[in-house]
Amino acid sequence: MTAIATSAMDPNLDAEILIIGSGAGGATTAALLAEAGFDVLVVEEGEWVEQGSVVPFSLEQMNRQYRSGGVTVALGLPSIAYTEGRCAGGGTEVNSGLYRRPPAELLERWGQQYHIRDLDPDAMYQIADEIEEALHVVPVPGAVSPASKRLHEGADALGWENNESPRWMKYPANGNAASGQRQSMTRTYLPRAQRAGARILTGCRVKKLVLQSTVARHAEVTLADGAAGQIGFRHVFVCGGAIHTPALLQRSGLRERIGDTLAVHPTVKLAARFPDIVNATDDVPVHQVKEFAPEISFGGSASHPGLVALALNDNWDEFGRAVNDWERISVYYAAITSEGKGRVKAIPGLRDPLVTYHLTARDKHLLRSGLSRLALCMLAAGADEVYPSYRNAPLVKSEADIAALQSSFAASKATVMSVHLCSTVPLGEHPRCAADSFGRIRGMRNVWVNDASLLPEAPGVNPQGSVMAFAVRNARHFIETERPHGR
Amino acid sequence: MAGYSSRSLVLPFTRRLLAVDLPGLEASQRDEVAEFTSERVDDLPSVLRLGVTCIAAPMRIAVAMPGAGSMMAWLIRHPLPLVGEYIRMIRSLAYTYVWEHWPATLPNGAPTIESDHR
Repeated sequence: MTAIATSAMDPNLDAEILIIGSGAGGATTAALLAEAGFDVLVVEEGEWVEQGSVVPFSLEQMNRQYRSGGVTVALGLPSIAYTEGRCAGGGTEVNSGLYRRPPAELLERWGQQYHIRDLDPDAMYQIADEIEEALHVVPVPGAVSPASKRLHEGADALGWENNESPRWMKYPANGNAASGQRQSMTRTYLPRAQRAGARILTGCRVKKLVLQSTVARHAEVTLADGAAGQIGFRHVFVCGGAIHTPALLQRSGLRERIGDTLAVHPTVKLAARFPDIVNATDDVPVHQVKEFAPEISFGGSASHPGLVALALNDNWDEFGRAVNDWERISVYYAAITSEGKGRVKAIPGLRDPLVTYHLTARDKHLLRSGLSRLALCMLAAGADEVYPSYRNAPLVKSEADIAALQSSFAASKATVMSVHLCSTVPLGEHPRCAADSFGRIRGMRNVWVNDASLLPEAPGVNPQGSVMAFAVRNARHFIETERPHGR
Repeated sequence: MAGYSSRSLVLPFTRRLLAVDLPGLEASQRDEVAEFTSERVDDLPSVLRLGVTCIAAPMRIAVAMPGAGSMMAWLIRHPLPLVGEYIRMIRSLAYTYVWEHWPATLPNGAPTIESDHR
């Protein structure tokens, strides 16, 4: 099942509901609205890439399924490298497939702090049940990867809380971690939307929404072949992710409180070498260490030889010799919940927005603390050498070396990264929120947001489950309040 | 911006960086890696690409000057603000490409003894 080819399409279309973006928020919204009888058109800037046609986490995948080939940066001191999916299914096609529910106490606090109407944690958990069934969220039935096992053993040896994050995967009976088939949006909610009559157009970039007073009338689009067109609609859902949703709204003239509160989970990483083979080139560890959560969490990253070289290259003179041991090396990360904030600003004349992020002194302290503890965990897991990823980092071979790591680390020397971006159009009735409690942009009658942009803060866990739970909640509210045309 | 290419700035710089960093890499491989990095730079988001071009232009001139090799070696050892970030970005892209495509490559860019992948 694939999308409609845009090269053959009439560039001028109409739909009752236009959904911009086909990731975790957009695909979910499309399926629910189409099944409720709405005439739904989904437009996606990237292409439809069948699973299995590119190697996971490879440069080819980055080329075809990531925005800007995976090289995107939030400027700051330090700058933070981030990645975004740009393909049918969005980030769900390229991420690790790990799943966490939004913590109930967090939902409770968000409801109170941001004045989100009818945000009932119990109702959200019922939605989570549905999502988990639809995505087939399960732990690995057989053996986890050696790199995951090492992280688990290291944390256990230190008495640190850790657990396996379930994934949205289908495994054969007793299959191991590498045998799963991802249940991303192109396997689940997008086919559901299509079966219910939704149309999906790939290779279609929305330049702006054309507004008339409090109503958006149509979208100006550019197709893959460069042809310009426009799409009329009754309602529009912007689901382009935490960077491009606010950028599109700003290009359309909607700027109030939009794009000013970018939140991320900044991460620093290290490579660890073990006595035996641990590297699984096309998979990631499923265990996560939660002893210091929500402030700090540890997990494993993709570790094919190119990514091992990337992890070592900040101190290549000393660490480079390890690259030929890549089969015995795996890359791990320490992620923090940041109190910093970023901004997304569309700049007239430029295609892409300016993205900035400012880490606080507390954030930088947490990154240092996180990397040190992660190194300790690796030693406890049996690593014979640990290579922290920052300029002139010391080689860590014993606990005595961790003091040198702590004293020499500075966030400005590290390769700080994030794959979790959110909160640029926060929802709620609080005056700081850009959208109402169900994602409608303030002051607009028919412009909605339903993606990671809506989360009021970075949730401290993998955000896809939170994004989808809010998307389902908001879509259902829309269905209850807006009837399909002609019904 | 869409029609503008940084290729002429990035290609010679990347070749020179790789010659210093990974002297064992064959010239044809250097060219292939440099092509890849310049394509990625052309695909950068608008603001970042503009910034990289501003740094890459003087670096391109520096690479063409006499004694460029020793200057490049100095810059690699003493990363300056902004220039250091440019070198880091090019190096990150290049190393990822090299070891993804030719994992049996020594840290100096030469093939491992048992490999015959060139």
